[in-house]
Amino acid sequence: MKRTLLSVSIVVAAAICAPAQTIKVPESWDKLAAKADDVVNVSLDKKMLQFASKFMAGEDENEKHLVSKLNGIYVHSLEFKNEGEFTESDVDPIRTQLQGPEWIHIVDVHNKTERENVVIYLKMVNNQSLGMAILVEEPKELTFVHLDGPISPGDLSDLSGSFGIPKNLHVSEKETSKPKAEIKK
Amino acid sequence: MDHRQEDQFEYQLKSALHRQEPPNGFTVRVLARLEPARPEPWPQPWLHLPSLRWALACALGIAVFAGGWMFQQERRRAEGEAARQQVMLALRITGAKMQLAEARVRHLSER
Amino acid sequence: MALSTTAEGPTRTSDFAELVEAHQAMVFSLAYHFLHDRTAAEEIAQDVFLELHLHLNELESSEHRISWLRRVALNRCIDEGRRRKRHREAQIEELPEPIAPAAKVDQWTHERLRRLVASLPEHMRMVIVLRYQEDLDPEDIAAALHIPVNTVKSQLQRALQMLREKAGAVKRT
Repeated sequence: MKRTLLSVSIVVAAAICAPAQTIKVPESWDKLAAKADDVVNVSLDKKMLQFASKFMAGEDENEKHLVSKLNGIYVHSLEFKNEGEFTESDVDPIRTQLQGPEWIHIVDVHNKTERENVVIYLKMVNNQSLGMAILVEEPKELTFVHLDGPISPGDLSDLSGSFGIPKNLHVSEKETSKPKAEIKK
Repeated sequence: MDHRQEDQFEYQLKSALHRQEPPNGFTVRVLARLEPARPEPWPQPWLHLPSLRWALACALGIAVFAGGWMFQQERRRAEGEAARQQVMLALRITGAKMQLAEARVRHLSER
Repeated sequence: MALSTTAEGPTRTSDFAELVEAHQAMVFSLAYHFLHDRTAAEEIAQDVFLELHLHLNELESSEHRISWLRRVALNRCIDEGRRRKRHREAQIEELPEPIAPAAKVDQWTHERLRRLVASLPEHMRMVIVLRYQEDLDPEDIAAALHIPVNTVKSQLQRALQMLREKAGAVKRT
Protein backbone atom coordinates (compact mmCIF):
# COMPACT_ATOMS: atom_id res chain seq x y z
CA MET A 1 0.00 0.00 0.00
CA LYS A 2 1.30 3.29 -0.93
CA ARG A 3 2.14 5.26 2.11
CA THR A 4 0.14 8.43 2.36
CA LEU A 5 0.14 11.04 4.99
CA LEU A 6 -2.67 13.48 5.30
CA SER A 7 -1.48 16.41 7.27
CA VAL A 8 -4.27 18.70 8.13
CA SER A 9 -3.30 22.31 8.32
CA ILE A 10 -6.75 23.03 9.62
CA VAL A 11 -5.66 21.58 12.94
CA VAL A 12 -3.65 24.69 13.62
CA ALA A 13 -6.60 26.96 13.01
CA ALA A 14 -8.79 24.75 15.12
CA ALA A 15 -6.31 24.80 17.96
CA ILE A 16 -6.22 28.58 17.90
CA CYS A 17 -9.88 29.32 17.40
CA ALA A 18 -11.62 26.75 19.58
CA PRO A 19 -11.30 24.79 22.81
CA ALA A 20 -9.03 21.77 22.62
CA GLN A 21 -10.48 18.38 21.75
CA THR A 22 -11.94 16.80 24.89
CA ILE A 23 -10.51 13.36 24.25
CA LYS A 24 -6.77 13.38 23.79
CA VAL A 25 -5.02 10.86 21.59
CA PRO A 26 -1.92 9.57 23.39
CA GLU A 27 1.49 10.71 22.27
CA SER A 28 2.44 7.12 21.50
CA TRP A 29 0.23 7.44 18.42
CA ASP A 30 2.75 9.87 16.95
CA LYS A 31 5.41 7.18 17.14
CA LEU A 32 2.98 4.65 15.68
CA ALA A 33 2.22 7.08 12.86
CA ALA A 34 5.89 7.00 11.93
CA LYS A 35 5.62 3.24 11.44
CA ALA A 36 2.23 3.29 9.75
CA ASP A 37 1.63 2.92 6.03
CA ASP A 38 -1.42 5.10 6.00
CA VAL A 39 -2.12 7.89 8.47
CA VAL A 40 -5.27 9.97 8.67
CA ASN A 41 -5.60 12.83 11.11
CA VAL A 42 -8.65 15.02 10.81
CA SER A 43 -9.39 17.68 13.41
CA LEU A 44 -12.18 20.05 12.56
CA ASP A 45 -13.71 22.30 15.21
CA LYS A 46 -17.07 24.08 15.03
CA LYS A 47 -15.68 27.03 13.08
CA MET A 48 -14.02 24.87 10.50
CA LEU A 49 -17.13 22.71 10.15
CA GLN A 50 -19.23 25.80 9.54
CA PHE A 51 -16.69 27.00 7.02
CA ALA A 52 -16.63 23.62 5.27
CA SER A 53 -20.43 23.39 5.23
CA LYS A 54 -20.50 26.49 2.99
CA PHE A 55 -18.73 24.46 0.37
CA MET A 56 -20.97 21.40 0.70
CA ALA A 57 -23.67 22.70 -1.63
CA GLY A 58 -23.59 19.55 -3.74
CA GLU A 59 -23.66 17.15 -0.81
CA ASP A 60 -26.56 15.27 0.75
CA GLU A 61 -28.90 17.30 2.98
CA ASN A 62 -28.53 14.81 5.85
CA GLU A 63 -24.81 15.11 5.72
CA LYS A 64 -25.00 18.87 5.81
CA HIS A 65 -27.49 18.69 8.67
CA LEU A 66 -25.20 16.39 10.63
CA VAL A 67 -22.18 18.60 10.07
CA SER A 68 -24.12 21.69 11.10
CA LYS A 69 -25.07 20.07 14.43
CA LEU A 70 -21.58 18.94 15.38
CA ASN A 71 -19.09 20.95 17.41
CA GLY A 72 -16.17 18.98 16.08
CA ILE A 73 -15.03 15.96 14.13
CA TYR A 74 -11.78 14.25 15.15
CA VAL A 75 -10.57 11.17 13.31
CA HIS A 76 -7.25 9.40 13.86
CA SER A 77 -6.56 6.32 11.83
CA LEU A 78 -3.36 4.32 11.46
CA GLU A 79 -2.97 1.49 8.97
CA PHE A 80 0.09 -0.74 9.19
CA LYS A 81 1.76 -3.09 6.77
CA ASN A 82 2.25 -5.78 9.40
CA GLU A 83 0.20 -7.04 12.30
CA GLY A 84 1.04 -6.36 15.93
CA GLU A 85 2.49 -2.92 15.46
CA PHE A 86 0.46 -1.50 18.33
CA THR A 87 -0.41 -2.78 21.82
CA GLU A 88 -3.14 -2.26 24.38
CA SER A 89 -0.97 0.32 26.09
CA ASP A 90 -1.43 2.51 23.03
CA VAL A 91 -5.22 2.28 23.34
CA ASP A 92 -5.71 2.27 27.12
CA PRO A 93 -5.25 6.05 27.57
CA ILE A 94 -8.24 6.59 25.28
CA ARG A 95 -10.33 4.00 27.06
CA THR A 96 -9.48 5.67 30.35
CA GLN A 97 -10.83 8.98 29.10
CA LEU A 98 -14.04 7.25 28.03
CA GLN A 99 -14.65 5.68 31.43
CA GLY A 100 -16.50 8.66 32.86
CA PRO A 101 -20.17 8.26 33.83
CA GLU A 102 -21.33 10.28 30.85
CA TRP A 103 -19.86 7.81 28.37
CA ILE A 104 -21.80 4.65 27.71
CA HIS A 105 -20.98 1.72 25.44
CA ILE A 106 -23.63 1.18 22.86
CA VAL A 107 -21.56 -1.41 21.01
CA ASP A 108 -18.64 -3.38 22.40
CA VAL A 109 -17.51 -6.27 20.21
CA HIS A 110 -14.40 -8.30 20.92
CA ASN A 111 -13.64 -10.89 18.26
CA LYS A 112 -10.69 -13.03 19.28
CA THR A 113 -10.63 -14.97 16.04
CA GLU A 114 -10.44 -11.88 13.91
CA ARG A 115 -8.53 -10.10 16.66
CA GLU A 116 -10.84 -7.14 16.40
CA ASN A 117 -12.23 -4.85 19.08
CA VAL A 118 -15.00 -2.46 18.09
CA VAL A 119 -16.37 -0.16 20.75
CA ILE A 120 -18.88 2.61 20.18
CA TYR A 121 -19.49 5.08 22.99
CA LEU A 122 -22.22 7.62 23.36
CA LYS A 123 -21.90 10.64 25.58
CA MET A 124 -25.13 11.17 27.46
CA VAL A 125 -25.82 14.13 29.73
CA ASN A 126 -29.30 14.63 31.13
CA ASN A 127 -30.61 12.10 28.68
CA GLN A 128 -29.21 14.04 25.81
CA SER A 129 -26.60 12.77 23.45
CA LEU A 130 -23.64 15.13 23.33
CA GLY A 131 -21.18 13.08 21.37
CA MET A 132 -20.07 9.78 20.01
CA ALA A 133 -16.74 7.97 20.04
CA ILE A 134 -15.69 4.94 18.04
CA LEU A 135 -12.58 2.94 18.89
CA VAL A 136 -11.66 0.14 16.50
CA GLU A 137 -8.66 -2.14 16.86
CA GLU A 138 -7.93 -4.42 13.93
CA PRO A 139 -4.80 -6.53 13.38
CA LYS A 140 -3.29 -3.95 11.03
CA GLU A 141 -5.43 -0.94 11.78
CA LEU A 142 -6.17 1.34 14.69
CA THR A 143 -8.93 3.92 14.46
CA PHE A 144 -10.43 6.45 16.83
CA VAL A 145 -13.32 8.70 15.87
CA HIS A 146 -14.83 11.38 18.05
CA LEU A 147 -17.93 13.19 16.90
CA ASP A 148 -18.42 16.07 19.34
CA GLY A 149 -21.93 17.46 19.53
CA PRO A 150 -25.57 16.51 19.92
CA ILE A 151 -25.45 13.51 17.66
CA SER A 152 -27.77 10.59 18.05
CA PRO A 153 -27.81 7.15 16.44
CA GLY A 154 -30.82 8.42 14.53
CA ASP A 155 -28.65 11.03 12.87
CA LEU A 156 -26.33 8.30 11.73
CA SER A 157 -29.18 6.22 10.37
CA ASP A 158 -30.20 9.23 8.32
CA LEU A 159 -26.85 8.94 6.64
CA SER A 160 -27.65 5.45 5.43
CA GLY A 161 -26.33 5.06 1.97
CA SER A 162 -23.77 7.70 2.58
CA PHE A 163 -20.33 6.77 3.73
CA GLY A 164 -21.46 3.19 4.33
CA ILE A 165 -23.13 4.12 7.60
CA PRO A 166 -25.61 1.28 8.31
CA LYS A 167 -29.24 2.09 8.69
CA ASN A 168 -30.14 -0.59 11.18
CA LEU A 169 -27.52 0.29 13.73
CA HIS A 170 -30.26 1.84 15.77
CA VAL A 171 -30.18 2.20 19.49
CA SER A 172 -33.23 3.37 21.34
CA GLU A 173 -33.13 6.15 23.87
CA LYS A 174 -33.92 3.58 26.52
CA GLU A 175 -31.03 1.41 25.50
CA THR A 176 -28.61 4.26 25.28
CA SER A 177 -29.40 5.31 28.78
CA LYS A 178 -28.16 2.00 30.04
CA PRO A 179 -24.49 2.03 30.74
CA LYS A 180 -22.20 -0.38 28.95
CA ALA A 181 -24.58 -2.43 26.82
CA GLU A 182 -21.93 -4.86 25.74
CA ILE A 183 -21.92 -7.68 23.27
CA LYS A 184 -18.90 -9.82 23.77
CA LYS A 185 -17.83 -12.92 22.07
CA MET B 1 61.14 83.35 -48.83
CA ASP B 2 59.65 86.88 -48.54
CA HIS B 3 56.32 87.92 -47.03
CA ARG B 4 54.56 87.77 -50.37
CA GLN B 5 55.69 84.24 -50.92
CA GLU B 6 54.76 83.40 -47.33
CA ASP B 7 51.27 84.78 -47.80
CA GLN B 8 50.98 82.89 -51.04
CA PHE B 9 51.93 79.62 -49.33
CA GLU B 10 49.45 80.13 -46.54
CA TYR B 11 46.80 81.09 -49.07
CA GLN B 12 47.44 77.86 -50.94
CA LEU B 13 47.34 75.95 -47.68
CA LYS B 14 44.02 77.52 -46.83
CA SER B 15 42.65 76.63 -50.24
CA ALA B 16 43.92 73.09 -49.96
CA LEU B 17 42.36 72.66 -46.53
CA HIS B 18 39.00 74.21 -47.32
CA ARG B 19 36.02 72.34 -45.95
CA GLN B 20 34.75 69.54 -48.12
CA GLU B 21 31.34 67.97 -48.08
CA PRO B 22 31.26 64.25 -47.30
CA PRO B 23 30.00 61.86 -49.99
CA ASN B 24 26.32 62.14 -50.90
CA GLY B 25 23.86 60.49 -48.54
CA PHE B 26 26.01 61.05 -45.47
CA THR B 27 23.14 62.30 -43.31
CA VAL B 28 20.94 59.38 -44.33
CA ARG B 29 23.68 56.95 -43.40
CA VAL B 30 24.15 58.59 -40.01
CA LEU B 31 20.41 58.45 -39.32
CA ALA B 32 20.29 54.84 -40.46
CA ARG B 33 22.93 53.97 -37.89
CA LEU B 34 21.08 56.02 -35.33
CA GLU B 35 17.80 54.09 -35.49
CA PRO B 36 18.95 50.72 -34.14
CA ALA B 37 21.35 52.40 -31.73
CA ARG B 38 18.68 54.43 -30.04
CA PRO B 39 15.10 53.47 -30.74
CA GLU B 40 12.70 56.32 -30.44
CA PRO B 41 10.25 56.22 -27.60
CA TRP B 42 6.66 55.53 -28.47
CA PRO B 43 4.65 58.60 -29.09
CA GLN B 44 2.22 58.83 -26.20
CA PRO B 45 0.81 62.33 -26.38
CA TRP B 46 -2.39 61.24 -24.70
CA LEU B 47 -0.41 60.38 -21.56
CA HIS B 48 0.28 64.05 -21.10
CA LEU B 49 -3.39 64.71 -20.43
CA PRO B 50 -3.86 64.87 -16.63
CA SER B 51 -7.41 63.48 -16.74
CA LEU B 52 -6.30 60.48 -18.74
CA ARG B 53 -3.41 59.89 -16.40
CA TRP B 54 -5.78 59.96 -13.46
CA ALA B 55 -8.15 57.62 -15.25
CA LEU B 56 -5.28 55.27 -15.99
CA ALA B 57 -4.12 55.40 -12.37
CA CYS B 58 -7.67 54.70 -11.13
CA ALA B 59 -8.09 51.82 -13.57
CA LEU B 60 -4.78 50.40 -12.44
CA GLY B 61 -5.83 50.75 -8.79
CA ILE B 62 -9.15 49.05 -9.44
CA ALA B 63 -7.39 46.27 -11.34
CA VAL B 64 -4.98 45.73 -8.45
CA PHE B 65 -7.84 45.76 -5.93
CA ALA B 66 -9.94 43.39 -8.03
CA GLY B 67 -6.96 41.11 -8.53
CA GLY B 68 -6.32 41.03 -4.79
CA TRP B 69 -9.98 40.36 -4.04
CA MET B 70 -10.12 37.56 -6.59
CA PHE B 71 -6.92 36.07 -5.19
CA GLN B 72 -8.42 36.15 -1.66
CA GLN B 73 -11.63 34.58 -2.93
CA GLU B 74 -9.74 31.86 -4.73
CA ARG B 75 -7.63 31.15 -1.66
CA ARG B 76 -10.76 31.03 0.51
CA ARG B 77 -12.42 28.71 -1.97
CA ALA B 78 -9.37 26.40 -1.95
CA GLU B 79 -9.33 26.37 1.86
CA GLY B 80 -13.06 25.66 1.94
CA GLU B 81 -12.68 22.82 -0.52
CA ALA B 82 -9.86 21.35 1.58
CA ALA B 83 -12.05 21.59 4.70
CA ARG B 84 -14.97 19.95 2.86
CA GLN B 85 -12.73 17.08 1.76
CA GLN B 86 -11.57 16.63 5.35
CA VAL B 87 -15.17 16.45 6.53
CA MET B 88 -16.05 13.90 3.85
CA LEU B 89 -13.00 11.79 4.68
CA ALA B 90 -13.87 11.87 8.38
CA LEU B 91 -17.47 10.84 7.68
CA ARG B 92 -16.36 8.10 5.29
CA ILE B 93 -14.04 6.59 7.93
CA THR B 94 -16.78 6.95 10.56
CA GLY B 95 -19.21 5.21 8.25
CA ALA B 96 -16.81 2.38 7.49
CA LYS B 97 -16.22 1.70 11.17
CA MET B 98 -19.91 1.87 11.95
CA GLN B 99 -20.51 -0.62 9.17
CA LEU B 100 -17.86 -2.89 10.65
CA ALA B 101 -19.57 -2.65 14.01
CA GLU B 102 -22.91 -3.51 12.45
CA ALA B 103 -21.45 -6.50 10.65
CA ARG B 104 -19.99 -7.82 13.87
CA VAL B 105 -23.22 -7.26 15.75
CA ARG B 106 -25.24 -8.94 13.02
CA HIS B 107 -22.83 -11.85 12.96
CA LEU B 108 -23.23 -12.34 16.69
CA SER B 109 -26.98 -12.02 16.49
CA GLU B 110 -27.21 -14.65 13.79
CA ARG B 111 -25.28 -17.19 15.82
CA MET C 1 9.22 60.97 -33.99
CA ALA C 2 10.74 62.35 -30.82
CA LEU C 3 14.38 61.67 -30.27
CA SER C 4 15.39 63.60 -27.23
CA THR C 5 14.36 66.66 -25.35
CA THR C 6 16.60 69.63 -24.79
CA ALA C 7 15.84 73.23 -23.93
CA GLU C 8 16.98 74.63 -27.25
CA GLY C 9 18.60 71.71 -29.02
CA PRO C 10 17.12 69.33 -31.54
CA THR C 11 14.34 67.13 -30.37
CA ARG C 12 13.35 65.26 -33.51
CA THR C 13 14.99 63.24 -36.25
CA SER C 14 14.41 66.01 -38.74
CA ASP C 15 16.10 68.52 -36.42
CA PHE C 16 19.00 66.20 -35.83
CA ALA C 17 19.35 65.69 -39.60
CA GLU C 18 19.59 69.46 -39.98
CA LEU C 19 22.27 69.55 -37.35
CA VAL C 20 24.23 66.84 -39.17
CA GLU C 21 23.93 68.69 -42.45
CA ALA C 22 25.06 71.94 -40.84
CA HIS C 23 28.25 70.47 -39.41
CA GLN C 24 29.06 67.49 -41.59
CA ALA C 25 31.54 69.41 -43.77
CA MET C 26 33.47 70.57 -40.72
CA VAL C 27 33.63 67.16 -39.08
CA PHE C 28 34.29 65.26 -42.29
CA SER C 29 37.02 67.72 -43.40
CA LEU C 30 38.77 67.63 -40.04
CA ALA C 31 39.00 63.87 -40.36
CA TYR C 32 39.88 63.96 -44.04
CA HIS C 33 42.66 66.53 -43.66
CA PHE C 34 44.03 64.74 -40.65
CA LEU C 35 44.03 61.24 -42.17
CA HIS C 36 43.89 62.00 -45.89
CA ASP C 37 41.46 59.10 -46.35
CA ARG C 38 37.88 59.83 -47.43
CA THR C 39 36.52 56.43 -46.39
CA ALA C 40 38.04 56.63 -42.95
CA ALA C 41 36.98 60.26 -42.67
CA GLU C 42 33.35 59.40 -43.37
CA GLU C 43 33.42 56.58 -40.87
CA ILE C 44 34.85 58.83 -38.19
CA ALA C 45 32.38 61.60 -39.03
CA GLN C 46 29.47 59.18 -38.69
CA ASP C 47 30.75 57.97 -35.33
CA VAL C 48 31.16 61.54 -34.12
CA PHE C 49 27.55 62.41 -35.00
CA LEU C 50 26.26 59.25 -33.35
CA GLU C 51 28.11 60.24 -30.22
CA LEU C 52 26.75 63.76 -30.54
CA HIS C 53 23.26 62.33 -30.53
CA LEU C 54 23.94 60.61 -27.24
CA HIS C 55 25.20 63.83 -25.68
CA LEU C 56 22.69 66.27 -27.11
CA ASN C 57 21.15 66.99 -23.75
CA GLU C 58 24.52 68.06 -22.36
CA LEU C 59 25.29 70.48 -25.20
CA GLU C 60 23.21 73.52 -24.60
CA SER C 61 24.34 76.07 -27.19
CA SER C 62 25.32 75.93 -30.83
CA GLU C 63 28.87 77.12 -29.99
CA HIS C 64 29.15 74.41 -27.40
CA ARG C 65 28.11 71.80 -29.95
CA ILE C 66 30.63 73.04 -32.52
CA SER C 67 33.59 73.01 -30.12
CA TRP C 68 32.46 69.59 -28.87
CA LEU C 69 32.31 68.25 -32.44
CA ARG C 70 35.81 69.56 -33.21
CA ARG C 71 37.31 68.08 -30.06
CA VAL C 72 35.68 64.67 -30.46
CA ALA C 73 36.51 64.52 -34.16
CA LEU C 74 40.17 65.31 -33.52
CA ASN C 75 40.40 62.78 -30.70
CA ARG C 76 39.00 60.09 -32.96
CA CYS C 77 41.41 61.13 -35.70
CA ILE C 78 44.35 60.82 -33.35
CA ASP C 79 43.19 57.36 -32.29
CA GLU C 80 42.74 56.28 -35.90
CA GLY C 81 46.07 57.82 -36.96
CA ARG C 82 47.94 56.02 -34.21
CA ARG C 83 46.22 52.80 -35.12
CA ARG C 84 47.22 53.03 -38.73
CA LYS C 85 50.81 54.24 -38.36
CA ARG C 86 51.00 55.15 -41.98
CA HIS C 87 54.19 56.21 -43.75
CA ARG C 88 52.89 59.26 -45.47
CA GLU C 89 56.27 60.55 -46.59
CA ALA C 90 56.68 57.70 -49.03
CA GLN C 91 53.33 58.41 -50.66
CA ILE C 92 54.20 62.03 -51.28
CA GLU C 93 57.13 60.99 -53.41
CA GLU C 94 54.79 59.00 -55.60
CA LEU C 95 52.76 62.02 -56.77
CA PRO C 96 53.16 62.58 -60.50
CA GLU C 97 54.33 65.92 -61.85
CA PRO C 98 51.54 68.29 -62.88
CA ILE C 99 50.64 68.83 -66.46
CA ALA C 100 48.77 71.87 -67.90
CA PRO C 101 46.16 73.38 -67.75
CA ALA C 102 46.32 75.76 -64.75
CA ALA C 103 43.21 74.45 -62.97
CA LYS C 104 44.76 71.02 -62.87
CA VAL C 105 47.97 72.49 -61.52
CA ASP C 106 46.04 74.04 -58.58
CA GLN C 107 44.27 70.76 -57.98
CA TRP C 108 47.60 68.95 -57.96
CA THR C 109 49.11 71.56 -55.59
CA HIS C 110 46.22 71.28 -53.20
CA GLU C 111 46.38 67.52 -53.15
CA ARG C 112 50.12 67.66 -52.57
CA LEU C 113 49.66 70.10 -49.69
CA ARG C 114 46.98 67.96 -48.11
CA ARG C 115 49.27 64.97 -48.24
CA LEU C 116 52.05 67.01 -46.68
CA VAL C 117 49.75 68.13 -43.91
CA ALA C 118 48.72 64.54 -43.31
CA SER C 119 52.39 63.62 -42.95
CA LEU C 120 53.01 66.12 -40.11
CA PRO C 121 53.29 64.98 -36.51
CA GLU C 122 49.81 64.75 -35.03
CA HIS C 123 49.93 67.88 -32.82
CA MET C 124 51.21 70.03 -35.67
CA ARG C 125 48.62 68.51 -37.95
CA MET C 126 45.91 69.49 -35.51
CA VAL C 127 46.95 73.13 -35.22
CA ILE C 128 47.43 73.45 -38.99
CA VAL C 129 43.99 71.97 -39.74
CA LEU C 130 42.31 74.14 -37.13
CA ARG C 131 44.19 77.23 -38.33
CA TYR C 132 43.72 76.85 -42.09
CA GLN C 133 40.57 74.76 -42.38
CA GLU C 134 38.61 76.17 -39.47
CA ASP C 135 40.26 79.60 -39.66
CA LEU C 136 40.71 79.70 -35.88
CA ASP C 137 43.02 82.15 -34.11
CA PRO C 138 45.86 80.72 -32.02
CA GLU C 139 43.82 81.60 -28.92
CA ASP C 140 40.83 79.56 -30.15
CA ILE C 141 43.08 76.66 -31.11
CA ALA C 142 44.67 76.77 -27.67
CA ALA C 143 41.21 76.66 -26.09
CA ALA C 144 40.08 73.83 -28.34
CA LEU C 145 43.12 71.68 -27.70
CA HIS C 146 43.60 72.71 -24.06
CA ILE C 147 47.20 73.79 -24.64
CA PRO C 148 48.96 77.15 -24.08
CA VAL C 149 48.69 79.81 -26.81
CA ASN C 150 52.46 80.03 -27.10
CA THR C 151 52.65 76.31 -27.78
CA VAL C 152 50.10 76.74 -30.54
CA LYS C 153 52.08 79.59 -32.06
CA SER C 154 55.40 77.72 -31.96
CA GLN C 155 53.80 74.58 -33.39
CA LEU C 156 52.23 76.63 -36.18
CA GLN C 157 55.60 78.15 -37.06
CA ARG C 158 57.39 74.81 -37.01
CA ALA C 159 54.63 73.13 -38.98
CA LEU C 160 54.66 75.82 -41.68
CA GLN C 161 58.43 75.57 -41.86
CA MET C 162 58.30 71.80 -42.27
CA LEU C 163 55.59 72.09 -44.92
CA ARG C 164 57.59 74.65 -46.89
CA GLU C 165 60.69 72.52 -46.69
CA LYS C 166 58.85 69.41 -47.79
CA ALA C 167 57.03 71.28 -50.52
CA GLY C 168 60.33 72.65 -51.76
CA ALA C 169 61.96 69.23 -51.60
CA VAL C 170 59.15 67.67 -53.58
CA LYS C 171 59.28 70.50 -56.07
CA ARG C 172 63.01 70.01 -56.56
CA THR C 173 62.74 66.28 -57.29
